[in-house]
Amino acid sequence: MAERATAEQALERGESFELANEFAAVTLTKVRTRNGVRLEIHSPRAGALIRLDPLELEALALQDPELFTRLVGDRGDEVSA
Amino acid sequence: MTDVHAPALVRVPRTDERYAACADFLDDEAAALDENRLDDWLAMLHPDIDYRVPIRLSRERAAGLALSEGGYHLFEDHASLRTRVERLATDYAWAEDPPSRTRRFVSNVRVFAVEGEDDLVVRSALMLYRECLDHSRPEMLCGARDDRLRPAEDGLRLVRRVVVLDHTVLGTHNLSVLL
Amino acid sequence: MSGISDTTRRLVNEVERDLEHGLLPMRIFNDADVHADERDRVFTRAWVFLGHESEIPAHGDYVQRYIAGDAFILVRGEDGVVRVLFDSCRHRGALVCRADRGNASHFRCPYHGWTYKNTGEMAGAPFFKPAYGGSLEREHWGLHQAPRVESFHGFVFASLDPDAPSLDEYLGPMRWYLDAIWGPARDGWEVIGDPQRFLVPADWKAAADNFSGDDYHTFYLHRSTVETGVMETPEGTDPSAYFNGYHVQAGNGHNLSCFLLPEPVDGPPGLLGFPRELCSGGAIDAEVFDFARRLIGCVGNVFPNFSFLSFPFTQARDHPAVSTMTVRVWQPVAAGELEVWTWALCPRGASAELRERSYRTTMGTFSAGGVLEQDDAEPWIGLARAARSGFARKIGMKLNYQMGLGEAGVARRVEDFPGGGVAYFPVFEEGVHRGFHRRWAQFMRSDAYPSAMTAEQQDGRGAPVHG
Repeated sequence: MAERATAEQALERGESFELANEFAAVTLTKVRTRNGVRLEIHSPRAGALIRLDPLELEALALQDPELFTRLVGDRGDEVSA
Repeated sequence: MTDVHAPALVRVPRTDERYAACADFLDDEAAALDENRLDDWLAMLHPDIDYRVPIRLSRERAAGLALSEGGYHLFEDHASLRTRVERLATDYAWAEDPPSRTRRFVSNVRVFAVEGEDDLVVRSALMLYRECLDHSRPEMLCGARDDRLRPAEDGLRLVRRVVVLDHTVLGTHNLSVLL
Repeated sequence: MSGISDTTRRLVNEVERDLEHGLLPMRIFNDADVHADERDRVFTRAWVFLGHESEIPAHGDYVQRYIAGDAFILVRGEDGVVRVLFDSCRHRGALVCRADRGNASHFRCPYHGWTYKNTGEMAGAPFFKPAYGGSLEREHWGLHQAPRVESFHGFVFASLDPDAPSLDEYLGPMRWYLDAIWGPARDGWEVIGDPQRFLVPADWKAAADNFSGDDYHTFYLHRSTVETGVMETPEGTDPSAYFNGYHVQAGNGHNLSCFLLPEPVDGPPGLLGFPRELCSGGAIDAEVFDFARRLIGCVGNVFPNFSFLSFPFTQARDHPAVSTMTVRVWQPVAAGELEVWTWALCPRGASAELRERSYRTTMGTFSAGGVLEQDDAEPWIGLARAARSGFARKIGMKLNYQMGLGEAGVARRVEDFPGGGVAYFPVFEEGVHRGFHRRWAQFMRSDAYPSAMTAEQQDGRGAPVHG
């Protein structure tokens, strides 16, 4: 299951790298947690952190770009998306 | 951009005679330029000089220092700098005839020794104040200089200069002055 | 369509009358009313240059560009299409993109977070459901776009007027000449680096006027570059060589000055001196390619304010001459103030050495620090000062644009010039400048979209036009 900002410390943290443009900056890190290996996505500006497992990442890869337009466009509606 | 293979830079303290030599060089160079003693200035350049003023961009903070990839306001070698000086000596260099009145303020000088080499890396801040004709509103150019000075028999020579300006749009009607 | 001020109208009438006698009221080069009316009459109607496609190669690449002081986002969308989006959020008008360039799938306004796809469509707004429920139709709230965007040889132009003719129609015969200049590059052109921008206290029209074909000044203003070997001529320093060129008025206010070999040469100095292996004869019309192979240098202006220049120069006597290519936009900032945007380009596929040397020489001659361009600004600045003069206004001072009128000088009309338009040889004439101002006056005067202006009408000298 995806884990959120209050997630406990990872057991192990790989090297981080940043992806940024004028509108967002996120730090990506491969982490090992008690629940296995995850990709941690951290956006300080949005005050958000999430950890996704391979299945969840695969689901993202399968999505239509329109989904991302909806996610990007409707900030704040995340709970009811 | 840091090159992993570049030799380390070791800070040279103010009390070191090399710091004084570099600071004197910068002051003498500014005086030569401000006093239009351009031949004296040319003599301070190493024959292999690489002189660049990159075009600066305004980009998101995460991009770090945003310089144009391959874009330069000035990109000169010894021959082209010599040609600029020669041009100013002709009767037809209108941009500098009457000459601009300039004052270069060079400060925030930090000197580094290059490990394993005799060259000195000198980083400083430049403010160039300029007035032309009877205009009373000055033009100003500000930036950071990253110089490499090479010891020669009779003193130091400028072998490399990069000036990163604080401007993305130049407020000067030309760049007929050297930075 | 808003009217123009009385001052502007009087000046425009004066310009049209005066041009018949080779005169021009100096005041147009520094007048606040004229500047304000130019925004409505010229810059929001004409086709203007935004940038080159090579500056936004990847999907999502964007640069912030301007049309007469208004910020636009020149972007290659996720669908690969190049668009010109008005950089103003539909919610409260704030700038959406505030950086000079970048890459993004979506643009988000910093004010309330309204978000747009990089194609301009609205993606959403924060808390869309509680804030807007079902009452805001996203399809109607995308970023406004320049209604017309077209490009050729990678040069992207836009018109803010939906009634503008196609870019091809707008260019008219000038298209033929631009094809000869940019068509031969086998793999197209690419911008090197980013445009340089600098402010000059002079009117944009002084620069566009000059680049329409002012060869007369090269011998005197730029003499320093002859004496230092930066500028050479095929015949050494023989002064008459500067003037053995052709002035072409291509219609619709476009002009160029070009220097030609008597016969096509399959390499330098023809093809503007660029290597033959970078040029392809196959992709363009044979007549155009013949002209290109005769072309050793050119300078010109696409109405209103897009100029180009290509001549072989050198940064220093020790270095051999190298081909250059610069384009620029003279942005109107205020009356008597312009911002120069200058680009340096090279044919794709050029060797790293040629690319660097050409770039350094292009910028070394034509840029803020360019040894030719440095001097150009001086007279334009002087003109701007004089143009706002009370005395000049009092006496209605006129400038002399009479060269080539009548038979006094040596310039003669050349019939059947390869690309069409009205051509003169040698360049001891100022029809190209008069033609620019004639088109300007037409744009300023016309309430409806200005109709096409033939080369004959632009020149105004030849046989009377019947009807």
